[in-house]
Amino acid sequence: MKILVLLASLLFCYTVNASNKPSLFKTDSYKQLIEEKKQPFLMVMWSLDCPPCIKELNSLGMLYKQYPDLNMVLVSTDSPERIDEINNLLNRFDLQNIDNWVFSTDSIQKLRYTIDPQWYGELPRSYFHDKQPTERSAVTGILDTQHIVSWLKKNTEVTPDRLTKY
Amino acid sequence: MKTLNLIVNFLLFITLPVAGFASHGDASAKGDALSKCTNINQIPSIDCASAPSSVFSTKGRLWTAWSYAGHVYVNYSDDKGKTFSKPVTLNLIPEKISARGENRPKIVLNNNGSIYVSWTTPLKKRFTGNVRFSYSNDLGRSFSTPVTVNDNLDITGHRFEALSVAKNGNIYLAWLDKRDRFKAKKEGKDYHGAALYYTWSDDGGKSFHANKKIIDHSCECCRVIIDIDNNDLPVILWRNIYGKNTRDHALVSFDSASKPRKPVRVSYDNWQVDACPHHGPDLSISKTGDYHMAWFNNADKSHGLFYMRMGKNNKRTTPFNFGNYKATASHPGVLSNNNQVWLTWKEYDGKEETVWSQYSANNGETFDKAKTVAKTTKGSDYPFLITDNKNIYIQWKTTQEGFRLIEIDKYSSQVMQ
Repeated sequence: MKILVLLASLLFCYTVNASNKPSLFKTDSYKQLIEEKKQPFLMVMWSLDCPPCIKELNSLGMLYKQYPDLNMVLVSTDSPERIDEINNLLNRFDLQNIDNWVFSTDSIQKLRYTIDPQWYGELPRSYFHDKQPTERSAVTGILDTQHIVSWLKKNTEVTPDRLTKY
Repeated sequence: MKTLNLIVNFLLFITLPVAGFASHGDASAKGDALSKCTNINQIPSIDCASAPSSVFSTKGRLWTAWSYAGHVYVNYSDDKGKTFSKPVTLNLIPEKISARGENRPKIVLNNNGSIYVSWTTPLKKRFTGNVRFSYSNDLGRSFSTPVTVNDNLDITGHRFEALSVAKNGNIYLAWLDKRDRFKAKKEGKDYHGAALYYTWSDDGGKSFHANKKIIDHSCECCRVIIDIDNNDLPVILWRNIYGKNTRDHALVSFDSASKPRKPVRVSYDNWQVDACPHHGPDLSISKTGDYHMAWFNNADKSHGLFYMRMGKNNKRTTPFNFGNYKATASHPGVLSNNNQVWLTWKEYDGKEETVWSQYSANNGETFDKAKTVAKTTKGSDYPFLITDNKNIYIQWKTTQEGFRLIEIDKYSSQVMQ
């Protein structure tokens, strides 16, 4: 019996770590991100059902190519059963290797609340977590790439070489 | 025994459709309404549906339309939603069905007993879909083979349909349509948002007239609402895009079934955002002919839920801001009857989702104090106000409790015990 459990556990580990796939965003995930993520970071909420989000992912994908050190978290607010569609889209914009998450089956309202009680679910919705852990700003709608760049300048010690990449 | 449980749990986990995650979560809480839906061979229940619709017949029978696992179902309840008849399948061939939040199967009843149902079927490409329709002329025993209502079959968006039936039997459907955007893109041109299209049937749903455009540049992901006015013609309310990105609401009434008037802008919150609010308005036309509207906007200066009445000559009242903005008051519903107006909406305080109601006895001039209708903790659908022409109810489907119809006092909106 023990062997069977061991085999089952091994198979389980293999299944969940087989590739760099989105993690499930649960009610404690945001707290965990704030505690563990190196500040500053940009967190972008998006969904398969949101046409402007696709434009957003496209421009973030291009930005990420230019600046692979961009500390970014992408959270899909779709349900977990749409994981294949989510992965396809992330692959399409070369965003599959960043810190990706997808909302778990917890109440969507509860998940949103853990991030921001004042967020009504409009998408895309982005949170700029500044150098100072207590400071963050929220933006609804497609991000202006220039806005991200200025935020980076303000919050990271970037060298002039790096900046010219923009 | 523990080992056996572990293995069983593990086997259960690998059969759930969550493969591909770096970690895993609970598929659904045990004991909640959705847990009844794990056996695919069982006849599904309305509790399995995430976004049902319901309507009362003149005889007080509650008819519902909902979807589960690729099928649209209709059934009825004679005890206000406590028990239901065996569901009838509308589409024998399974298809994808939009059934979440802003988009869901809809059901309306003709005075002669006919039942009309519509839904959106998403196509292979993202943000695409077709509007589907099916009818029953034998009191719901059988339904016609579903047809696609949009007469443009480009693989583009024809979604977020609204459905209504007039007293004369005309069936009206309006939806957000991207055929013009599709064409513009092919020609290398930009096209912002979607368009609002509509059609109607004057033969009980056997055929529909050619689709007609009402306006270009509507918002893309917010529900559209139709009600029937005192001239027995449709009135449509939707979120429109004004200028570059101002997402306010517009309304169109009709001179005849084939002649829409010029749309009028009804909200001026000036919410400028290049985003999807996923938050459509509601409309109820009273017997006095007034249009009662409720909507959500999130502009810096004008945000939250709003109620407004529009009367003759498009005269609008000052919008009344309701609900607790700090508790994410959202997804408003409105229902009117002569001078009575009821509002409903949802709030969340970090622990519980609560449905609220508020009542006006003077045609929306003033409202009484907001009251709590029901609460849940594990996720819920939007609340909807419906009536059997005697009493007022709020339909609320929650993950834990399933489908519920909660009666509220028709003179105060207090929950009836």
